[in-house]
Amino acid sequence: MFIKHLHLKNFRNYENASIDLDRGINLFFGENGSGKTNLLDATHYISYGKSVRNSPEDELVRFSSTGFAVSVVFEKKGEDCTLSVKYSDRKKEFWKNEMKLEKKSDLIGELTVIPFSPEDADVISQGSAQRRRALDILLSSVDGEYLKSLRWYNKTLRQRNALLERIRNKESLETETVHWDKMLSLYGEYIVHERGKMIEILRDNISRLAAEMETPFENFDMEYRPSLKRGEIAEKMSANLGRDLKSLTTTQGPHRDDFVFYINGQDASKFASRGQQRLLCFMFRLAEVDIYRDNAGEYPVIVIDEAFIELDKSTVLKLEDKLTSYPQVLLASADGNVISEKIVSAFFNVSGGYVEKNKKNK
Amino acid sequence: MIEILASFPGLGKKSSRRIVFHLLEKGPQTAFKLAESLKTLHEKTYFCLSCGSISDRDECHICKDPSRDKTVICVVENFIDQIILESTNFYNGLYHVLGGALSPLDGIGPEKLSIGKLLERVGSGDVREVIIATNPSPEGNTTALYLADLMSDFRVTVTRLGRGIPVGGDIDLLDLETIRLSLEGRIQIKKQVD
Ligand SMILES: Nc1ncnc2c1ncn2[C@@H]1O[C@H](COP(=O)(O)OP(=O)(O)OP(=O)(O)O)[C@@H](O)[C@H]1O
Ligand SMILES: [Mg+2]
Ligand SMILES: [Zn+2]
Repeated sequence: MFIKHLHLKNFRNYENASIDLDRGINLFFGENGSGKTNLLDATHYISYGKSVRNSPEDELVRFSSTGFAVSVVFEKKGEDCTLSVKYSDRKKEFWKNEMKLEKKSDLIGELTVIPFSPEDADVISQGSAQRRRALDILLSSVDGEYLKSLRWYNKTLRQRNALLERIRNKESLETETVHWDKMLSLYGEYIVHERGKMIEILRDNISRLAAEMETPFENFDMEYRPSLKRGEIAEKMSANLGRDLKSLTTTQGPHRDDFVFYINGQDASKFASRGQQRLLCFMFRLAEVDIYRDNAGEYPVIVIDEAFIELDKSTVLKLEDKLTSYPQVLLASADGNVISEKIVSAFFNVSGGYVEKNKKNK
Repeated sequence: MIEILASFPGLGKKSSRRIVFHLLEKGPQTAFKLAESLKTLHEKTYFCLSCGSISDRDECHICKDPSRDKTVICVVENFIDQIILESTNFYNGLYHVLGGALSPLDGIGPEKLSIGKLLERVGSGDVREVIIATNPSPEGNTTALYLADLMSDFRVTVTRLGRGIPVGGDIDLLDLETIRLSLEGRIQIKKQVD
């Protein structure tokens, strides 16, 4: 799919901007604070009903205005579709082809944009919570059953932890954990199964992409490290009861899962350089893009905000080459020369909330 | 007063404020009538001694009705769930109102639910089947599992009302057709124990 037209009204630092986008790579460049990130965020808002960082709507309204509107025309499986959102008087309204949508969830899934940002590298360098989050977002968006199981698992986990506290205060009996443990393992087994399958797919996709792009990774590998293995969740949960009562928390389970990236047999979070981590992360995101395509039958729109920092020239060239193979990429950078001019379909000069389109980089 | 009202199910700050302003506008008469009826609410309402449902005397009209099938008991979390199942006109057995679902976060353990009474009824011998119609939520599902375990000591078939009920949907939000379908397609969670 690809976006043909984007219109912003009183959104962040844009008073009124109307932008015609092209297929292929659209490069938005301009000084710091000119509004590049804000513009990309508008595409996120219209896809998911929220901004990338989940900012409250009132922060999205242009200073001294009372509401904002964003609308987008995009092509999906050969057909034009219009989505718009209006926010005023603290109320949100969503529209599809002039028809009002009942709720936000009716909006989600119409237009899919996949945001890349420098923070993506956190998936490798930061703690397991970031990795689980990335995996859970991916799985939840392609599998509604997963989303349900995850929500219910988390709720059951909170119940179990509350029960541990009640047992310690002598308000409940230890035997009451039995059924909560069974429920946790029921949802947990499904989660662990799906995560395991997804890690396999991601690993295959990244390996294929790495070979295709001739990245300098030798022996890339990825390993799922479930806190409790499939089939043993129920048993381990009840075996852990004594320990869990001491710490007043459920010490093992899918909420403690992790996964590891390996380059040349070594854990990338510990041994890979920053640039290597960034590249690996980029591959991880592209692997996700393939999964979205397999799921929806069509590539999503790739939205990249300054994701090339700390990458060397030859790596950027390899990524450029790959990026030209997608239907549409929106790329923002303070540097108008981040990528080779010849692969860019349209340049957009952004300054102070105004956008000017050029065929060439001027 | 606004705060008390806002803590009620389905009422927010805004609607609570509206109710209070409405009462102020209507003058003291209306407020007085409301206060009177609130005073006697608990005195005039009885809970059926058998099933725990709301009733105007010691035994409710369903438990008393000779045409109801006394061999089937449908276990629900609360009175509203019972009314909804009843409105399908499809179920002809008896009910049992638990008074909630297990939820340690809200301080609700088995002792807070009407479980002893349920076991008494099931143990009395006439009952062949128990349908567990707690909400399809982590709490409702755990409660169902708990009850099924307790009931494995009795010669009853335990089934779970479940099919066709959407994710996280409370029974009171479902349309009648869905409930009728799930009553037809209820799944057995424990084989009959000999
Ligand atoms: N609600 C708002 N109303 C008006 N202006 C806003 C609003 N929110 C943010 N801004 C302005 O938008 C500017 C930031 O824009 P943005 O983050 O898109 O810049 P950028 O082009 O991505 O910059 P960089 O190159 O540093 O990433 C800030 O100067 C900020 O004052
Ligand atoms: Mg920016
Ligand atoms: Zn009764």
